[in-house]
Amino acid sequence: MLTLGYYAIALQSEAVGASGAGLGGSVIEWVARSSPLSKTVLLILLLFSVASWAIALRKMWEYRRLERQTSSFLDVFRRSTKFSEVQSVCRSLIHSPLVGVFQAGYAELNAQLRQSGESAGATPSEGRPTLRSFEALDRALLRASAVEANKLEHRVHLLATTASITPFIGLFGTVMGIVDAFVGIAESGSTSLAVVAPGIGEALIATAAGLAAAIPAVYFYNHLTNKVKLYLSTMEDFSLEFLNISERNFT
Amino acid sequence: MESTTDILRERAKRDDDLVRTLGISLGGHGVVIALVVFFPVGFLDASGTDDLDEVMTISLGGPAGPSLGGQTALAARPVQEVIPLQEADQDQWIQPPTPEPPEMTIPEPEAPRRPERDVPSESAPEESRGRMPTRGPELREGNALAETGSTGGGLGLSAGGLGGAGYLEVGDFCCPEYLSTMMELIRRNWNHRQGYTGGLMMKFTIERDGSLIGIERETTSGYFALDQSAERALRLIDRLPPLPSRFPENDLTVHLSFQYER
Repeated sequence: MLTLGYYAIALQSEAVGASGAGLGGSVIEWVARSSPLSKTVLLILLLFSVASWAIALRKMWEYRRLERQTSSFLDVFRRSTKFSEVQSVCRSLIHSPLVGVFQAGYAELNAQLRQSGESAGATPSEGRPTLRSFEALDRALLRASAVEANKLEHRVHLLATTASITPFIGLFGTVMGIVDAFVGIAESGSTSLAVVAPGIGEALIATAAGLAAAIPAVYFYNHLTNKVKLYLSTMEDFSLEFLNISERNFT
Repeated sequence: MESTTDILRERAKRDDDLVRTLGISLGGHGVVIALVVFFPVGFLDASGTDDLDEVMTISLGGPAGPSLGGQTALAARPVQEVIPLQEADQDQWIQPPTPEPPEMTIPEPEAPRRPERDVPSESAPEESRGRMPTRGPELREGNALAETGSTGGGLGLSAGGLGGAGYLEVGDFCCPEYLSTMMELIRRNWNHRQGYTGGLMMKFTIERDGSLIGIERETTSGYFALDQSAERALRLIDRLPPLPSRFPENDLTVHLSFQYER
């Protein structure tokens, strides 16, 4: 980071040696000279951008961890022969949504088996416990899936909001800036470019900032919702697999 | 053993430490803004900012164009047109040879006579020798305005261009007649025929009272004499007329091109 800064400063000093003020300088000048309204607009856009990038980075990081843990959980799940073994590794893989689904299903299964064990305790003729309500297990898995889906999608909607709102905020800033510029023309009574250009240029910065905030947000929103869809189908698949195994073993 | 609902409730608790990524994001934005601020000059604008300065052109080289009251019709230019071939008058050039002048006239001894009015020609006209001058269609420099489709800048000095150019550092200078006066004064001190071809740019600033300051050469023609001559033309003007009152600025910076012809 620091070296990057030095690089920028070195470039800048070299460029200043070559000629006069640069684009960056003029942009900063314009921003500094702009009205409080457009400064506010730029600040709001900056906040939106910071928040959306933070959410996107956080989610990307979360999803990467989630993928890693999911694949190792599935590995364990498919290799083990007992649900209790799988349950024991769940502690270390807490971030995978499949763990939530599995734990809910396992708890429901345990509860039903215990009940059936208690009622069938008098006649322990059958060697293996049986599942009383298959639908209840299904419902438990569904509930768990819903909870996990909510967790996955948490805050992703803010990216969509950023993507759709920030261009409009930027446009608003631009329109107000152009109104300002025209008022300036009316006051000075001159239509020369020198009077009009800075105002319009300054106003357009707001649109540029709005687009700069919106474009990454659109990209990340699409990327993340696509991932969420993928995880949802993985969870669905896992639920069915869990149901199949339960049916095979406990009926 | 906890129930399903307990597990779900436990799972639904969100562990989001967004603070760290917020910090990262904020830092990233700071870096981007710093990059924009410290960006190398002219990296983002493709054509360079110098092109924007050229607003109008003034030419010093070449013949002066038609005087159109300061508004030059840049779109129109003189075209060469063909004069329709006239039916030549046969009698005009086939003529009998003029009669020989009389050998001698015997003077009357008495009264002095006035000299004769019609002096006979010494030799026969060219045409009479049977040699015909070639008469074909002639080209005449016309001054009709032809519509060329392009539109002029609407403001400029009325001077024909031979590649010479200059520009002002103001967008719309109000008073073209002032510029033509200025050009006239400069042209008085300057001779565009120096035996060499070349061009150079001079830059100077006209103060409100008409005095010239900041005379400097922007580009060289490559010949010291030509450079000197152009600079001299400016230095010899001790004072131009004061800037017009309609012109709002305090001074006017002019970039003027001097084009020499052989």
